[in-house]
Amino acid sequence: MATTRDGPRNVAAVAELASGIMFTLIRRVAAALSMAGMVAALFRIRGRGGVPPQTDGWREVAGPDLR
Amino acid sequence: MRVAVIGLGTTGSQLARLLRLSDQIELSIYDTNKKRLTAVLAEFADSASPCGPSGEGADVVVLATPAGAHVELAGQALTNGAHVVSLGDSVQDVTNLLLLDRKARSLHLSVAVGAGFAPGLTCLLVRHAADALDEVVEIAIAKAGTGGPACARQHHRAMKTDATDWIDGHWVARRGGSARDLLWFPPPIGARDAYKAALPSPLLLQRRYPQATRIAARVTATRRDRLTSRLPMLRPPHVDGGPGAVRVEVRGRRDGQFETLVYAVMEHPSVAAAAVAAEVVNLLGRGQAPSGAMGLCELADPLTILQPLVANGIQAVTFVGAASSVT
Repeated sequence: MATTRDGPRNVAAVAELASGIMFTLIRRVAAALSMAGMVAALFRIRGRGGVPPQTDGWREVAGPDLR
Repeated sequence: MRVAVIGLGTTGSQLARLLRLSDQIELSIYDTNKKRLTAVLAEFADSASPCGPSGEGADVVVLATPAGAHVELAGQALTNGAHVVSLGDSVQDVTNLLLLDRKARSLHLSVAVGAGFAPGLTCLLVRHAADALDEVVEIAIAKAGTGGPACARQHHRAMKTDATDWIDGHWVARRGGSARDLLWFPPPIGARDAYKAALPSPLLLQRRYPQATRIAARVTATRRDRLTSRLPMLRPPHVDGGPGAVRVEVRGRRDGQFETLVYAVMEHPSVAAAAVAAEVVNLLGRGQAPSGAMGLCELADPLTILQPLVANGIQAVTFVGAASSVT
């Protein structure tokens, strides 16, 4: 069979292809994580989170409210 | 004043304990469970006596029985010449009790309908908020928690029964367990999912605020409660449901501006219901209520009940800053 004679060459080609796909995947994941990190950093630095409201909320109903 | 408490469950027995503290009240009690009745009589020693199921001889009869028997007992009490305070929270009981209006008026007696946690405290808080507005547009009620086992069973029944909302001048049926809404109650209750259920508060409030475009009520439930609401209760209810809360949101106009007022009370439902009923008993005993059958929003100035409740430790709160938090 052809595979007997061409086997080693085919195996090397397949390994090279898989390695290429793997590196592409790793590169893309790294790029996505970097971009997400940059966007998060942008929001963290430029965002207007500030201090949560300190005055609003539930207030006990006291005497003056019940007159 | 002679007061008869019919039904000595979690709320009824707490109410009896409150009433026996008063020197002005001669207390009699009844429960179909003889063992329970004997135990409470023994606890009260000489400060209470047994009576019949319709509280013969009493000036005020308080109905703290499970749902179903309120209208019959109230009719008998009226015939016996007594004012009636009902803690019933089923739509059917409330509807039927309101039909006693004519009889109560003809006898110059009062029937306080839904004088508990919800309805009851909810009606008082709505009236208090509405009194601060020139015009009431929308009323939203929410309740979290249950009192004793009878209250828990009623909660379970309500979840699988259609709700009735007042929308644009008509009663509209909404499926029980539908229309989930995330509502914020004061601590320790916090944020809870609330659903439509067969709750009587809108029926009582619509009589006072027929011009409102929307009157609706919700009850909190876990997803498991909602999922199993069509089944029988999977386990027996607790003796006391623990901490609960009611929350009312009244929207309307004041000085030409649209305004929203939010009030809430957090307390064990059985404790709050007993405290509300005790104040209503005092009100009726003083002869300060109009004759007829009505909810607490029609019965009296809400402050005459809310002031002593707050003075006795029921914690009421209001939400401030709603407008600024929205924008």
